[in-house]
Amino acid sequence: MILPTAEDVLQTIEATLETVLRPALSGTVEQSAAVSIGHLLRHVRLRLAREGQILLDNMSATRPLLAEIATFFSDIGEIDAAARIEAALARPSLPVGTYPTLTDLGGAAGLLRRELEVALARLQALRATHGEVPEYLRLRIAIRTWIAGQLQAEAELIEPAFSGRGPRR
Amino acid sequence: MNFNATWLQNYLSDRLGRAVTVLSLESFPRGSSRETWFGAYRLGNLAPPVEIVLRADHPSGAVDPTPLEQEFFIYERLGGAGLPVARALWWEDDPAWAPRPFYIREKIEGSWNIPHYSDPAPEYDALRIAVAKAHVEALAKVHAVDWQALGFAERLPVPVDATQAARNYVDAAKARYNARDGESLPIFLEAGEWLVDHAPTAARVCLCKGTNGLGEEVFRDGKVVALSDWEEVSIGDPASDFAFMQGFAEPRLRDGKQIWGMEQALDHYREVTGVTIQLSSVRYYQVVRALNLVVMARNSAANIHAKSAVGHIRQAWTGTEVIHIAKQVLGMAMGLVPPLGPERFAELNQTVDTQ
Repeated sequence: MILPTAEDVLQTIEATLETVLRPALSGTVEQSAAVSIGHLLRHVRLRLAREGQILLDNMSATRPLLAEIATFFSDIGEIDAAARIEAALARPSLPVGTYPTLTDLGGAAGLLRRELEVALARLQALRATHGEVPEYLRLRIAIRTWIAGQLQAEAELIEPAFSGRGPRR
Repeated sequence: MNFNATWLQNYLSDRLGRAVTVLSLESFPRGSSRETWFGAYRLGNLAPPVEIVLRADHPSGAVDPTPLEQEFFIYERLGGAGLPVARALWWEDDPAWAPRPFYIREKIEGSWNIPHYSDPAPEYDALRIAVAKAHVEALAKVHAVDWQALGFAERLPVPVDATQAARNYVDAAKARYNARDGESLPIFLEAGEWLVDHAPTAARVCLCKGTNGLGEEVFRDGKVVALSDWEEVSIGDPASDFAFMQGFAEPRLRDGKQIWGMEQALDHYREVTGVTIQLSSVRYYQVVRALNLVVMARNSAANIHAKSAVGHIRQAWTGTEVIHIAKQVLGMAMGLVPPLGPERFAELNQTVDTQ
């Protein structure tokens, strides 16, 4: 470990901003920028600490959901939609042999999320014809559960950094 | 080339064909969707100062994905509509003059702030209610504008009838979402479908201002002297303007009784216009507003990702906390997450100049 850690440094920057720089700022524009920076520094600290695991958990939740949707598409003859998902799931998502950066993880999770978005659009288009099919309904509920999980995970990176921490701008 | 007093002096001298002395050009600290600059110039040594407002996108791009030129178009057309709106003066996108495209409009004397409006003392209740009623009356005038005669259908999506007004908002939001390559957000699609499923019929189809209320308009002596910030203008349901309203429909309690709030604002609107807007429609359009906010905040995030070296700090905030809260509102409406308290939303409007 390199000491001080990245989190240590960020916390020190935030404290210096708050105790040294902000009291010296008199203009509204400068004060506004300073408080925004403080919030975002806390947010970045949280992301350094937690975002990697959140992204891994998200990918672990997205992959089986996509696989279930692909099976449904295949079962109802939506061959192209099924093939697109299967191809996406078959692609290696992270670099092999090197430690993935947060950008790598975010990119990999984002690609899966993109596939889920495309699949959801297709499911919505099929609602008129398949909206009463039990598996269709189950998948739509599963997607909503996935969305709820996403929101809750995202809140871990937002609430402690911003909520109750003063003016935003 | 940057916006500064010297640049403005050269520009205006060329534009007006005579020597101009620029007295000031300062960035307005409030608002974050676009850059707003306040300037003043004089045409001759004895001439009175002329005050102007300059609007431009941030170097990293605007929060609002609708083009700046549309905002100028709206101001220009509304100039003849009998509303209190600043006169549009010039649009400029010549790279020889423009660090980036901008337009200039006249500046109306006044302030976004209303003295004592936020003072909770009972003696200011009457002021608060009078100002809020005046704002509702100003919205009624907006809703009465002949938008077809002004050519707004050339620029804004128009619903086929009152039953399709809500659908029109969702489709417009989807078009803006799809036009920008940004983070994939399945919640956006899910919420769009939910909104179509729950769409109310509009009380009427009219010009709607979009974001409005405290912090958006210009006031003088407690009266609206200029309706500003037309970025979210639409042709649609007047309920949307009540949902997008800031600061003028919050519940005001005195001795345990609600003396003002959304119900009273809608009652006043009905007295003024004869049009009844359902509270449920206002609640519905608060979710539409969150959908629009997701589009704008996602646009901000994409701006920061593409041009972080010139990114505006508020766009970084919009792309993080604001989009999260907007998504939470969508999730709340669909029953996916527990509701957030009103204080959580109020926090977002806290600024250093209101502390």
